[in-house]
Amino acid sequence: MFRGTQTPQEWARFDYLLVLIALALVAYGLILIHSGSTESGEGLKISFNSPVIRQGIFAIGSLVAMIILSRLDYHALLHYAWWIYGITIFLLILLLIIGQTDFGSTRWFDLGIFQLQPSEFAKISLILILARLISDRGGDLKSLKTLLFSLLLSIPPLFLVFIQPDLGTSIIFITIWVGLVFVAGATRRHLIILGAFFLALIPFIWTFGVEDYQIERISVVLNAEEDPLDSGYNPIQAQIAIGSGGLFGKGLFEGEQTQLNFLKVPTKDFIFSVLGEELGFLGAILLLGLFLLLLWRILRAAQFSGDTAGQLLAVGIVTMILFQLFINIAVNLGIFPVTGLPLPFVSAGGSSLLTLFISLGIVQSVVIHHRAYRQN
Amino acid sequence: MGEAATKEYMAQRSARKTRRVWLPILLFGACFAVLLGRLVHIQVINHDNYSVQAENTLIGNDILEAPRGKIFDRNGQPLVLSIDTWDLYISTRAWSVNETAKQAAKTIAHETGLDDKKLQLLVHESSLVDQVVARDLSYETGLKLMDLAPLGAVLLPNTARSYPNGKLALEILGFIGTDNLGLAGIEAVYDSLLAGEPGNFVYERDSRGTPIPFGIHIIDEPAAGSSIKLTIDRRIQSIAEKELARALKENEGTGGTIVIMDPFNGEIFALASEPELSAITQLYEPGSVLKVITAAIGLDLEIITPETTYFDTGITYVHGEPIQNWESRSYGLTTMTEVLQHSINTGSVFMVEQIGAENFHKYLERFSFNTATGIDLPKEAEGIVPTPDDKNWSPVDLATQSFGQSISITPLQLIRAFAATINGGYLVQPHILMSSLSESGEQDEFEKKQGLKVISPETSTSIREMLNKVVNTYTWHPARPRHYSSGGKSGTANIPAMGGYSEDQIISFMSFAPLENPRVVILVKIDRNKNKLTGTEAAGPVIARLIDKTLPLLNVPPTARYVGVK
Repeated sequence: MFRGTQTPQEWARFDYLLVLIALALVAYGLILIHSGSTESGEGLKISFNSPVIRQGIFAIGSLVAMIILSRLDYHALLHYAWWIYGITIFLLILLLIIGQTDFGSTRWFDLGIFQLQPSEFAKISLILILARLISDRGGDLKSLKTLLFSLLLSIPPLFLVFIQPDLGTSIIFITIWVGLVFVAGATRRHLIILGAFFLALIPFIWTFGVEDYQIERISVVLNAEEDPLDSGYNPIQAQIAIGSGGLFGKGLFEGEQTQLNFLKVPTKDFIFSVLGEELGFLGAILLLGLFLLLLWRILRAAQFSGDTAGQLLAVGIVTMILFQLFINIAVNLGIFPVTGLPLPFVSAGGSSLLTLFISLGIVQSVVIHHRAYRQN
Repeated sequence: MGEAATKEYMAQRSARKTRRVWLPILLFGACFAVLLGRLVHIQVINHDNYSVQAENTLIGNDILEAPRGKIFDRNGQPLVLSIDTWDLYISTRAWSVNETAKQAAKTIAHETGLDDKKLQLLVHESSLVDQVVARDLSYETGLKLMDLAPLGAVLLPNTARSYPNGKLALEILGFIGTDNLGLAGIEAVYDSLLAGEPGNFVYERDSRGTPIPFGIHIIDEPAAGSSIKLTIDRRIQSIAEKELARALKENEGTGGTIVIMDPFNGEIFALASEPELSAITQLYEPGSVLKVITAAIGLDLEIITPETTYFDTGITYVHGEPIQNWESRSYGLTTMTEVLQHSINTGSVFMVEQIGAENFHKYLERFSFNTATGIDLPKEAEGIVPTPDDKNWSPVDLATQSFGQSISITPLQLIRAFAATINGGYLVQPHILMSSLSESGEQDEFEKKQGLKVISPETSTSIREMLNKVVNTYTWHPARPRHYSSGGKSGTANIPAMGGYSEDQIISFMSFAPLENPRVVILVKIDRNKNKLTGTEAAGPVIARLIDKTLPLLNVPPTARYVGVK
């Protein structure tokens, strides 16, 4: 089947609805980025410096990447999973040495026209390696050895991202692993033991692994008013923005919190606050609705999948996307510490968008290629 | 990527049909539910609350200080004025960018003389939207800053206190804090009169705190405070302060008081004390000046007359305790007037023994020695007058109280009681405020109340005559003024120390002038004078000078020609 060409039937299986949902989210994002990045009343500037134009270009590039990947049999990716995993670890280590430090954290390679964020791609490579491992070991995780091995594989990227430091992405790694081993059938006993072990570990992580600023951010969630101009500033302004938006919002480009720059990073981490303020509760419901459709399409792919690996890939990807969504919105709503996670498909950011569309490409590949294996 | 790789995976078993694929949906559903719940909570249920908060961050609200009322003396001469100044506020958001803050801080530092580094630190560490960095900048500096318009700077009008007479009467006038609140003296007592109502300046602003042009813009004009007129005469006050300083210097005193009051209405012409306001805050045993009160009580009860005599041996025994005269002198057959003239202790013991404890304390209470005078200055103390009801009372105390020991009062309480003995017999209300004049022109006079009757007018007349004889005891008397008739009494009292009395003394002289229709009562008190002169010797000359200098200023024509020799 894998010959670099696709038959008309395969194109027929291509999930157009999935792409449509993703593009709707991107379009939604473009509008909000425009609102968050310009003074009210200003038109769109045609310049590569305009965040809207940049995001549009990234979206087109990412769409192309998705189409290319969907043509590729995902088994090929699984075949090279170890290599991809190795390269990712190498990049993460390299990043610590020569990476771009910004806001006190080293997350990007500066490639001139855009910044490459290896931790984004590391999410996919973790999904790939775990799917490969579990599928190699007979498709389920009844054996404790396999379970521990899968955990062992998750730790290097987790650790390297954690020390950047990027708490949010580390949490995503954990959720990916938990999601995959759960679906792959780890026994309840093992899961309970590991859960207990992790709980026992928390005090040590808290003491030795978590930076002061992270503790500060966590305590700010518990009581934002404690420090209204420092750590508490963003969550408070975000909540004021969303809360003052009400049921119908203040209208696009009409939100004072957004337009008068009370909200910081309104095109990235706090883009949901722009949405909440200007488009209100209904706008937020529309966004969550689109994500629910996305969830449905990807889980559909998992059900279609002809093999364990395909199923795990789809579950891993949907876990990655949705938890990013949950954490981002939770931060905006002031019920989770500020972590710096983007809102998937909506927030401005090239690496994030590219990763998301690559993931969708893999999902497409699972959908397109599933029937062939069933027939075999 | 070859055939082999693909084939390898083609051999994979098909996916397990497990319900766990759908289990994540439960988790995702729970997450969606939580987010949705929170959204409903803040966007629908608490929407109004957040809307108000959004408005608040957008609305600048600065206080416009009200011009504080002026303070004048009894003749309308200014004591405290208000001048226009500027308060400088910095928008902390505007200075969140280091480079611009640096530039603006430098400009401000250059104009105001503040330290630009400290300025930046202050604004940086502030949790306010607008941080005040300087108050009461001069009017010119403010205008210059407005021209330079450093980023984030907002100038709001304020007023500052100005004192045209320098330090004159500062202990009475008090001072205000940076928030324009009266903190001491008259400024504190009449703060509500002087302060006025601050106004508001409300405007829409952007996230840097800068007002948005053509945004909402409301100015709620402040209402200026009332001006007040005091009973103080700045010329007499100045004389009193200088005389106090001179007396303390000449006699090496550690502190002291001069109070000059109108005996008929309690208006304070001058009040000077060291330490500040000790005239109303410090209790002391007044000593022999209190013999005037004892004599007044005896006369009022008609137990004695000025001519009543007794035989003085220089010592008398009260319940076995000896009480001696000053320097153990003895005077033989002595009239009550002579008791005052020579300040004879055994004489006042004779009087109080005739009066009796019950009557004596009834009168002390009428003279209000155990209650504060209620003068319009803060922190006034009230006297301590032991009575036979007290646990530590000893019968000897009654004897010693008759000449001003075992009783602690403030100088102001003393002079109020003294005024009652010479003004016809009623207690006055000492006060500093004469009238207030609001910005709209409403005038409000100090409410004068008829004081409590303490002694009869006849007694008062007798006391005046007796005290006039005191200052005429000798051909030359230190406390006798050159140009005015007067009357007075000295006091020299050792300061009580643990169980007895120390070597240190407090000396005083109180006087009234002129003899007919007194215009002033004056108390001069000097603490711990190292030269050990008596009240007559040290405070007497001060009294004489004060009367001679003060009465002309009150338009009192001379009533006596100086005949003594010096």
